Amino acid sequence: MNPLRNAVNRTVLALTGAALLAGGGWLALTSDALAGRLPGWWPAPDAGTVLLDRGSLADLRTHGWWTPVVVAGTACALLLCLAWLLARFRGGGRRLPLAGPSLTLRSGALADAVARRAEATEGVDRAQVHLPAGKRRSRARVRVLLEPGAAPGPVLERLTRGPLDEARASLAPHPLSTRVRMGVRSTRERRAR
Amino acid sequence: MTGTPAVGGPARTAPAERGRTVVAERAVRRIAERAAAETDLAGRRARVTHGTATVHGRRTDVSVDVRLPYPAVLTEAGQRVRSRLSDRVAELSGLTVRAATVRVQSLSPDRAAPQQPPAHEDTPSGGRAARRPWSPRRIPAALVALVAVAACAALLYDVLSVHLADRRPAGARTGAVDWLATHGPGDPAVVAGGAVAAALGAWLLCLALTPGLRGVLPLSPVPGRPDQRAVLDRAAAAELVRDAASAVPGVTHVRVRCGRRRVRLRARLSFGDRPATRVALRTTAGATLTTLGLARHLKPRVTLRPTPHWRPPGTAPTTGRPPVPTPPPSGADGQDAGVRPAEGPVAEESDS
Repeated sequence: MNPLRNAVNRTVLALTGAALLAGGGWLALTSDALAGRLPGWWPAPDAGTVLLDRGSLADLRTHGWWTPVVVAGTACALLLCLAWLLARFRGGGRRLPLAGPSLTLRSGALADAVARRAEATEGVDRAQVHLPAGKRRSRARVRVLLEPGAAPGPVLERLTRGPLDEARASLAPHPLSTRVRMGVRSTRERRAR
Repeated sequence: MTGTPAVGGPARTAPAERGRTVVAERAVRRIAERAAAETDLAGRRARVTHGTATVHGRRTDVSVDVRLPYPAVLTEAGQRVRSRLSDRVAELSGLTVRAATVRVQSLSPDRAAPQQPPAHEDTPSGGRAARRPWSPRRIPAALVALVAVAACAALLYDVLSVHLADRRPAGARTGAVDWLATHGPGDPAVVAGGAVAAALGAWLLCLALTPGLRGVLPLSPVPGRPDQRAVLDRAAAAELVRDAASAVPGVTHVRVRCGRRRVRLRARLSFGDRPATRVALRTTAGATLTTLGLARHLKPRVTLRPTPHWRPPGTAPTTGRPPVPTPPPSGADGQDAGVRPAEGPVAEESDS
């Protein structure tokens, strides 16, 4: 997948996870059973405090800027998260511009053609190709089911030098990267055939 | 083309110059479709599925949907179709082509199997081993974002409704504030909630730091194609080894478990010599693993157990009665001394 998106997803997960772990861990370690066992430098809360002090909350609310700040902050966070969610689900376009807007290619057509050529390759039983169009670079995901008795190494060679090279050549200046995943039908399916 | 009678003016113009020519859009469309279909693409033709044309005065915009033959450089073929289209339309209709658009809607692939170019020496990739693919973690990140969106939206709606529409704050918000104000650290509920949050946080951190995609093994890359990565399902690797092992004579009930570094093969021996069959199994498994083309070499570990009705080779076949230990003959023929017990010990071979 897109390495930038990969990194962003993992960063978000790591930050959220670390925050939850730190906060939750600190709260969990305040239990009475463990209170005596913590080392001296642990920032334990004083006995009798509450999680949210009503008095300080009321003080904050008297300030004039409290409500607008809360509203603005929540709205910003909402917009950020929404924009991020929508950006992931935008996906690839349907039409790949080959030479400006006056010449376009339907990416599903290329995917079908590559899949059919791949199925004609020796050793391949079924092939499915998913080719979302990208503005600067396209990533093709190819899923191949091997015929019984076919070895994956040679089949990958044949696929690469055959249909995948053709796909790369046909999109010529537009860069195309491919991710191939090979599998076999499960034994039950093979016996039933 | 329809003509209108000449407008009589003070200077009479020649008959050939009189009149107006209006070219119908339908005519331009037919011209465009025919022109695109006539394009010669290295001996093959494009097929036109649909065409449109709009005429504004002396200018026209045409667009065709075509079906190109497949293994071809699509940019070049498309440009050829487009240039022929605009040239022919301009030539035959006399209008100026303002915009000519070609949309490739489908491709017709060749029936023949793809040609394999001779495997010449590609630029070696320097022996770089394939890296393990990392899962993009889309779904967990999307879930976290969804929860954040829901919480922010609820809070924003509530705050706005309180301050703008003068409604009472939502029960959930006041209830939460009440609960937080009356419970402090050390409460069992708070401790439990903290433990749950910590577990969730640890799991998210795990997801973020581990590669994922545990069910696939990377294949070694094809030289000369740096932007291609291939993986093989672990279940598929196990199936292939299993098929090869089942073909060894005397072996039944093969079970294969494929890990990231080792392949564990468990089989039962129904006839034949045990050490020889174990060696044959190991050889076959090793050969199959080599043909898989994996990026990292897996070592096979073979475990072979005899089935209950296995007899060592060379003993007389039984007639169906349970085996009876016979006294050794005077000829000291060592064979009978080994009427082995039905279940031999499990031999854990550490093949290194």
